[in-house]
Amino acid sequence: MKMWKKIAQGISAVSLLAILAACGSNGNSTTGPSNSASQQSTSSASPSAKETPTGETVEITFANWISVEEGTKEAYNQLIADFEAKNPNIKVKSLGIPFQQFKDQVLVNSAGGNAPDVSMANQNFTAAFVGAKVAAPIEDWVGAEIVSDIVEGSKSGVTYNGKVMAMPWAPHPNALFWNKALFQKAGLSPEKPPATWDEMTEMAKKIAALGKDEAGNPIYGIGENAATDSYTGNMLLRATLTYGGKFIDEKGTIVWDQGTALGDTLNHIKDLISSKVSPKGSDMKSLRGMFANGTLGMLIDGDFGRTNFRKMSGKGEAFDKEWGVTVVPAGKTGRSETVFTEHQLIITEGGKNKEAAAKFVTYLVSKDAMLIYHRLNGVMSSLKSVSSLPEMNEDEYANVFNEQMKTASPLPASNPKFDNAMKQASDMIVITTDANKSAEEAITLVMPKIKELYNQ
Amino acid sequence: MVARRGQSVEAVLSLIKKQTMDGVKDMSFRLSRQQKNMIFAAVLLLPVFIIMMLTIISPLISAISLSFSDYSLMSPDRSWNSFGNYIELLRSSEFYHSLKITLTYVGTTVVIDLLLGLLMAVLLNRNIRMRRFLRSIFMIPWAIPTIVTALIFLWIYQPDYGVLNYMLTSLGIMDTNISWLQSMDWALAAIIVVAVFRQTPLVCVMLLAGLQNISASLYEAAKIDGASGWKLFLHVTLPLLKPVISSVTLIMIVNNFQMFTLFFTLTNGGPAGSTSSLAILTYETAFSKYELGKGSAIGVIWLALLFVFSVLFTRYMNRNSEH
Repeated sequence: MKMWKKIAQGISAVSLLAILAACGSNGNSTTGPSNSASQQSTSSASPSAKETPTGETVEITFANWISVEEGTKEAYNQLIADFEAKNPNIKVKSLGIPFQQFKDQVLVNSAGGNAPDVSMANQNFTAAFVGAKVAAPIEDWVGAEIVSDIVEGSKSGVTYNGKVMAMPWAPHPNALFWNKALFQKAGLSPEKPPATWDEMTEMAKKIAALGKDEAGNPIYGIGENAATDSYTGNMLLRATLTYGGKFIDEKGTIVWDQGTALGDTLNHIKDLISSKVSPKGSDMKSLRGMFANGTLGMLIDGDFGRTNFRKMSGKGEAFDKEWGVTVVPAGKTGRSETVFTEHQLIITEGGKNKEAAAKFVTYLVSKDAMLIYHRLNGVMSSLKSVSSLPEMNEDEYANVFNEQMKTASPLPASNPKFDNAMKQASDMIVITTDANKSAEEAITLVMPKIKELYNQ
Repeated sequence: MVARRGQSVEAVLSLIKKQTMDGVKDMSFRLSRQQKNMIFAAVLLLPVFIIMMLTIISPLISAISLSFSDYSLMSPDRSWNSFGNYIELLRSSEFYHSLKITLTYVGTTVVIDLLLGLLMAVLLNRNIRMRRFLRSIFMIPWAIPTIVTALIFLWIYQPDYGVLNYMLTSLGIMDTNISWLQSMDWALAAIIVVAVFRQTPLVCVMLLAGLQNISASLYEAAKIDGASGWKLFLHVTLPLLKPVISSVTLIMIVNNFQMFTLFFTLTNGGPAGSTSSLAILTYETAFSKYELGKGSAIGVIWLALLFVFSVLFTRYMNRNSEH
């Protein structure tokens, strides 16, 4: 019994010491030679590389969503392999985060002192990262030459208080995809897409009139986003441009609810959904799935659509014959109105290896990287020197998106709460289509909340 | 020994020291076996206590302190704003809307969980065929992680290709497909169904354990007195199962009050805020609006509500069981 007690006392003392030692230790402390030695031995035992005193090998963390998405996974793998082959002293550790949780996780990680070295972003996220002081001024790290090569529309979207805070990587203007087989079935010419907004709506109604496919699945004419998410808000804003509306004026004041554009857009979407021309409550992922399985006549989507449809249809490149792509039909303004979302890259303020991070960002926007990304996913470049390369404009698909880019507007996302405002905006679609309220009522209910977010 | 007038300071100090040391020695000798065991137990518990301090108490104190400050992810400055966050919250309709949704969800889910769980437990406690097999089968939903269950139900509820709409329209119960998770009328009910599917097996197992502890002799005695069927259940099973039912109820209420995964994965608070529970409101306030102070204040109010409820509920159940 005594022996047992002594053993128990010993164990409890050791466990207590262990806890106290753990509490007192600091991951970054290098207080003495023995400590450094133990850290080095841990590094060598670990499969991941760490910076050594001689600076031979550096590991950088890259927060991204392209490594966890089926359509872009291959491009990610090839880009990293190519970069590591060209920079053997830099290893890239992927921090893959699904798109829906991306902004929140990067913000929380950074606030907790675990910022990645490089992070992907888009206009919505960059505004938040700049606001939260997560992003470091990019020009300080990649140099003035590369910054001056950014196309103007993209550059203004990442400039905050006169400083370029993110590296525009790949702009994604939204264009109109149409399903040729469904056009034919509906008695429309498969090679003649709509030229005007009204024509598009009429064609969509004719396609929806087909009812169901052979498997009994409903066929829709066009897919309008109507889920509760910020992307739906972005797409509502995109459609509003066609009716002559805009989100903010030159002073940054919200003017979205002024005039009739927002109301007209909501009525248009309500009409499409209530007459079952567009599915109810769908997010972009569902709409892409419908387009890929041949139950959606038209969809306005970005240039990554092709890769997604190839994968989702299960037909690969053979599926390309079943659809076409054209610029968004002109509406009230008389020109093809759309928005471009943009994948961007930031070097974080809290990152520990900024020089290596800068090398990585410089590589990702370079000709070598963009040719890989373009070949696999059809993406465009935000750099003048790369976007004008013949290899980036070799096919009809690239030409359509280059043409669309000429009239595409950047998302007005300079306010850190833009993403939140867009999620809130998606409620207007839900209120009109599900609660069956009028567009005016939806605007009256939601717009004050959006203005409150902006402190207006 | 007693210090006397005229002694030097050094002498007095040395006297005090000697008396203290003697006291300590005497005390160590005077400790009873029970006291020594208590000290030993305390030493053993200390590591766990320290871990709890670090992982639960410390973050809790930090959150409470944060709830009294203006702190945003957008600005590193943190300033004390007294009860500003609480006042703002208690004045906002958003908070009451979320509280109402949470209470509706918790109340409905727990009642259905208990009724179905009890029914299943009573059935599985009987001598039915394949009892062991059925017990294992009924446990499967509980064994599946919540996030996986949510993803499975996303497909089941899919308006155009989901199996639920397919079954209901095939059976002629509905004419048109319903967008379960995109409808302001159906979304909360759809989440409750998933929660019930996931949690009922746990309730069933706990109640089954309680049922198996009821002595068969009590049933025999009641039968001799002429009781049968429903009366046996009402006058023997239910009263004896009461302590287990109250524990299970409390656990389920606390668990469901904290439910985030189902709301976040299935609807993310939508459509148009119709499933914006307190958990979603906290998340939205802290990480979408970046107001960490206000987000913490919601968490603190939520904690206080749960604490008060738990204390009142436990007292009520204890008083009832004494009677």
